[in-house]
Amino acid sequence: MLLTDSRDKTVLIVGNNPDFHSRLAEIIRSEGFKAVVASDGMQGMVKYYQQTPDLVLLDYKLQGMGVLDVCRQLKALSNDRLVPIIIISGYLNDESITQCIQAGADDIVFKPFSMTIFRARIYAMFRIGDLYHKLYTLKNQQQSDEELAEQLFSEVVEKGNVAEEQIKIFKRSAETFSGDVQLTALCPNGDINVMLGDFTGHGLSSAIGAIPLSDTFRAMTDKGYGTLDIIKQVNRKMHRLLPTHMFLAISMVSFSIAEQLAHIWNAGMEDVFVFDAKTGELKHRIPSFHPPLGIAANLLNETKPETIPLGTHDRIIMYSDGIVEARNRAGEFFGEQRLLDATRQGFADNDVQGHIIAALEVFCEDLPQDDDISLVDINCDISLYNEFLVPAQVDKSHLQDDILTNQMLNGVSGSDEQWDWQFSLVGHKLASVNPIPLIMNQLHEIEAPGDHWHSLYTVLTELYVNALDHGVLKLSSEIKSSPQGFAQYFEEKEQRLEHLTNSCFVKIRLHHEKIENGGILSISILDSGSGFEFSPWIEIPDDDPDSNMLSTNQFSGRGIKLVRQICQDLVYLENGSLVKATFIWSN
Amino acid sequence: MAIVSSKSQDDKDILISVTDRFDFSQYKVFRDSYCDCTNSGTLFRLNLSKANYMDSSALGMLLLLKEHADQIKGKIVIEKPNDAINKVLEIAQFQHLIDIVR
Repeated sequence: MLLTDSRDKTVLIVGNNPDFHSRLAEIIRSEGFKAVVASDGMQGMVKYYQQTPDLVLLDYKLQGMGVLDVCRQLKALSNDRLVPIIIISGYLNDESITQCIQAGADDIVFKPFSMTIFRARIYAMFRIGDLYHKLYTLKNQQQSDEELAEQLFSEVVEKGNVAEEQIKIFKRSAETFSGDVQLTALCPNGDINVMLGDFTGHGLSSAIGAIPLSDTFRAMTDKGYGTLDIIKQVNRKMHRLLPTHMFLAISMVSFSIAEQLAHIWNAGMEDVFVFDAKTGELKHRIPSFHPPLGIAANLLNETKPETIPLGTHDRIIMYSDGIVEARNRAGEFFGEQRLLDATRQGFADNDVQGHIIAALEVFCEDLPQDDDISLVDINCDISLYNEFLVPAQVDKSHLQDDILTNQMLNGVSGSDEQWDWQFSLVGHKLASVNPIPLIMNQLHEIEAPGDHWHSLYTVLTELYVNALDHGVLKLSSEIKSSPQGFAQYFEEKEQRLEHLTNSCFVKIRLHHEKIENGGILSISILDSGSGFEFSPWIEIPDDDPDSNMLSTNQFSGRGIKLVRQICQDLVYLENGSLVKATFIWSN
Repeated sequence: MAIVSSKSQDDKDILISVTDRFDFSQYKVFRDSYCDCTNSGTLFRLNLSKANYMDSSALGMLLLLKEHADQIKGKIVIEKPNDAINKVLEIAQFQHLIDIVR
């Protein structure tokens, strides 16, 4: 772009002296510019408004409205444009010159002047005006691009968040883009994964990883992968994606509503807190136990999420360092103690966010925010999450159709209407591989994804976990009779998983037959154990009043009952080491 | 100067001392302090005893130093971080990546 295109330039000349007018206008026109003339300040303002000139020449000896006033008014009229003003005058003392500049004049030309110098100054002014215009346009464009990108970005990253009532999320970015990412997603079995990530730095460059992060987190949660699998995959992605000096600090909570506990991961974030909101007691703090993600290709060995049993009044608080590292005028940090105090006051008023934000604002006054600020407050009262639980009662009446039953008994002719799939896990692979997401992937590949698979996920998980826990690992579910027992159970399980031998196995076999608008899936799971005590759950019919007894012990037995409700058929054979279930689905 | 570096006589030992704030504003000086040292097996000693603040971009700068050291089969030791800086290193669990001597 040329800095000065003379054909488009308009110069406004304001002065009482006709000689002054005509001489200047002549010079201007001879340069190819358009000249507009006004004989006093008032007229000058009107013409300025009408003609939007690119430069103003102002006679210092204006009558009526004084030159300084005209100067100020014209500058006020210019809005976002820079329209340079040159004052033309005879001798002026230092004070008058200063006044002119303060009133907004950009240059002063003293009479008498040489034509060459006058011309040069006009061109110089145009050049400044053009540069300003260019800068202003670029800045505006950048701003609107950034806003649009941020909108799209938030839409992609955060639109899938769930349970916004129960899991309160607050964020305030230091710039248009935030380097902090807060995600929540629902697992197929009704558990909820919550993630707080903090990319190095802030602004656009630190937000580049957010979209792949949220994609991975959501896709894997949706398929039922556990915390460690998700973290491993996110680490792999970030390691490939981020440059050496950038990384992702991350804390993640897998909130199991059915088991009333949380698996908590912390890689490079501030401590995750578990409070009893009723007493204000800080029950647990989970400090960072792993370097941030994206630094090394693999996770450190032997690291796994911490498992914390939860009570009804418990609240899990996650936050980014922008809160504790916010500074006041004296340069002090907001710090953890102020955060803890504000959080406790927040419990009393049932507004944790509000109290923390207020405390921060009082502390920092109106100082600009240095870093992104994030806060996640998870209410652990499981009764608030009923809507996310897999429905315990599935309507099977439409499946009891005679045709279906016949088809199931007799099979369907034609081998392309059925398929078989088998999968075995042996020895220590049982400790490191969760077969259920793999199976779900297979099903999605073969039969296309759909909502009807969600309850199958529950069936497979329950049956597999029973085979592993009670069959292979010989754990008794009686340990699970209290919330504390649940954590104990989990610990015991971890220990036994470390001592698996090659004679331990779980074999899963699926057989699928197509029926109109759906299919019949026969599931068999065989384990290497000697069976387990399944009868208390399996032999009580649905309508038996005694089955209510089960609900008094919500920590065990729920699983099989649920499977029985979802499946057409469920039998345990070989003392419980072989289970067969039939799942009928339709579109 | 916020960052000063000096070499031992055999060129095998580089001492980098950081004063005051260790953050992104030191990026270039910090990089210049080590990028010429390409002797195989160089020991980079990063003395933080006079530094009083470190942010996450400084952690990123440490990773760049580590990458450089790994390339020339060198080694890094972080020396004498104060409590505040040690806290930052601890949250980032950098002891798994770099030796830290208190």
